[in-house]
Amino acid sequence: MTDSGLAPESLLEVEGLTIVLRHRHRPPASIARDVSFHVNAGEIVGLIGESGSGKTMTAKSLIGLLPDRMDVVSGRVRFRGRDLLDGDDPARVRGRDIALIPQDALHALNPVKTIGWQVGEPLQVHGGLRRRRIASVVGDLLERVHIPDARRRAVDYPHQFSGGMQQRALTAMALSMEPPLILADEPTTALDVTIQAEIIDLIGELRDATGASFLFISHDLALVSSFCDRIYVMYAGEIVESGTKDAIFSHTRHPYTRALIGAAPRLAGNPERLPTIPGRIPRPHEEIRGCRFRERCPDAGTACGEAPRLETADGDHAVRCWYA
Amino acid sequence: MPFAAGMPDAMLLVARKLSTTFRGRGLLRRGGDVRALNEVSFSLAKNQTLGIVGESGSGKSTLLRVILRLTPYDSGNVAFDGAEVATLSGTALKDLRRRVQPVFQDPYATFNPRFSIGSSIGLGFELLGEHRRQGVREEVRRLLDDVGLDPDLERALPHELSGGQRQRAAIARALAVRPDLLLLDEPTSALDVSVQAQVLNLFKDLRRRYGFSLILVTHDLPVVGFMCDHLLVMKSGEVVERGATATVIGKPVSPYTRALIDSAPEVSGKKAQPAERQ
Ligand SMILES: Nc1ncnc2c1ncn2[C@@H]1O[C@H](COP(=O)(O)OP(=O)(O)OP(=O)(O)O)[C@@H](O)[C@H]1O
Ligand SMILES: Nc1ncnc2c1ncn2[C@@H]1O[C@H](COP(=O)(O)OP(=O)(O)O)[C@@H](O)[C@H]1O
Ligand code: SF4
Ligand SMILES: [Mg+2]
Ligand SMILES: [Mg+2]
Repeated sequence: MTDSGLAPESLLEVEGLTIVLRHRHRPPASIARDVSFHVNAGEIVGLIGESGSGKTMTAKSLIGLLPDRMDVVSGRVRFRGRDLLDGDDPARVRGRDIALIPQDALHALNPVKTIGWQVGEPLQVHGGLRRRRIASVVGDLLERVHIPDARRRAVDYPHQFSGGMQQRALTAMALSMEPPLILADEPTTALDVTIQAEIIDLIGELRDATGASFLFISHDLALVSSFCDRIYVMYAGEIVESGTKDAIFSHTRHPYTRALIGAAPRLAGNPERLPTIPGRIPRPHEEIRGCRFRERCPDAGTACGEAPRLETADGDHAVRCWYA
Repeated sequence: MPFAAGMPDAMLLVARKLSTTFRGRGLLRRGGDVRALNEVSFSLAKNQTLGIVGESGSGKSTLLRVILRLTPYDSGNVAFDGAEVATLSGTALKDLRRRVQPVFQDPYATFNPRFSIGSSIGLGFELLGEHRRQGVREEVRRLLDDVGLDPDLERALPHELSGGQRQRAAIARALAVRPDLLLLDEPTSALDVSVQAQVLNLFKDLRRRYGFSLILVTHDLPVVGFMCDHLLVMKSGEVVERGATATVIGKPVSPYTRALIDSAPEVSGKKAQPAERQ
């Protein structure tokens, strides 16, 4: 691992990240294995995969929020060239450099504090601003995420906000310290399609206005395909394919990515039955020889008893498969 | 013309000018009364599949609750198999409760957390008046198998199942009483695309086997494109468009429907070609 691999505009560079879950009676289970990805300044990068594939834990590890018994055992995370894992105090990085919009957004707000108080809390903790000044910044933030009548609604409690408005408030909270990188963990999964579209437009708008980068985590392929610049596909703790939006969706190489795309229904012209992926994603503690997708893979062959490596095919398009 | 009232006896469910108002109270309802349904009319023939789409707050869930008689309505009427829902009582109401089964978005809320999956499903048979212990157990196991679950999961508690498994168990529970109409409120929104494909295929298979009608509320237009032969579009408590799914999606009349179709995310490169639309 040398510095020469760092592209100049790289904001976040993750190399060989491996996360394990320690267990009292079993050997440690791997939650993420040799995960590498980067986010450039001003980019919206998608991280997709089935539930349980390790997306959330990968994101949390970047800001020191892994649950008990879970640790990063190898790999390197660099933010603007600074080493995050063994340098900075994660609490300092959190919010100021990298903010997380958590997956469980609608449960993330405190029901007994006003929206304004919660959006302003990071400013109070990190910013050392006067109370009057905080109130005005909070008003600006809520306006920026298009809360109607923002200044007046800041005194509302979460239950007085609709789901879409709560999601916006959480986005405002993430923006409060003007972090250059925002990790958005399934920010629209609980929302209906029109609000989904609004949140996505908002993310695009914020990127354009502030130059912030986003890591957009989702299990919703269609959504990711509509607005991410580059995409990483994760399966059972590993990146199995990555590339530009066009590479992933129009020149799909990995059988898993292809299966995911095939399983999504379309507006019209659907087959009588949707193609499905047999079996299920392996649990972290399951011992697997060879390719982790092998048991479910329609293309598996003799080579697959050995684990494939992530190989760069052309340009930015990388794939982890012997037969791709 | 599926929505013409030409053949009333083939219709399973007929709603005419159905309106519901939630009365404003206190801080919460700043705007005063909420007209959740405003003169909603539609009908559903036996064996039909109807998709209902519309933005958040457009009244979709309220409509399902009214059909289930969980929410009262102010005016209009809704008839299930020829009988006005509001006037049902006694055995007739019990019959409605059996014949129309909901499956909600969060199947976790459908199950009593302290009951095993098997006993929750088994309760359905008591509604049918089948108390024989042995027979019930066999039926439960067969149903679990039918929805693609390991029959041994009968002993599992709800929290021990994954989201997809819980959704399947909720379907098994709804099917236990052999309903004529399933009301599905966002049944796959929380599921992975791979699990969603399995659950949607399952609905198709089970419909073939059990022959029930189905109303599906979803925010996901492609899901309706796959599942439903008819489509109802709602906005602010009103029906803005309805018709055969292929027609509505191919040639939407209302600008609102067009906007919904345009904002429906589809996997790139898979956007339906005009030629595929009828
Ligand atoms: N119990 C209630 N008391 C007061 N107002 C209600 C109640 N239930 C629903 N409403 C209001 O009625 C309207 C329709 O709500 P409904 O739940 O039917 O929407 P929906 O179309 O299902 O939305 P979503 O897609 O978000 O589930 C909304 O304005 C809602 O706030
Ligand atoms: N608090 C926790 N303790 C132990 N294991 C966990 C915890 N949270 C998540 N996991 C496990 O880590 C793996 C990856 O989870 P996660 O990152 O949440 O997946 P995703 O976000 O892709 O759905 C899963 O196998 C999950 O069961
Ligand atoms: S390496 Fe083999 S099993 Fe793995 S995805 Fe490729 S073909 Fe399938
Ligand atoms: Mg997650
Ligand atoms: Mg609803």
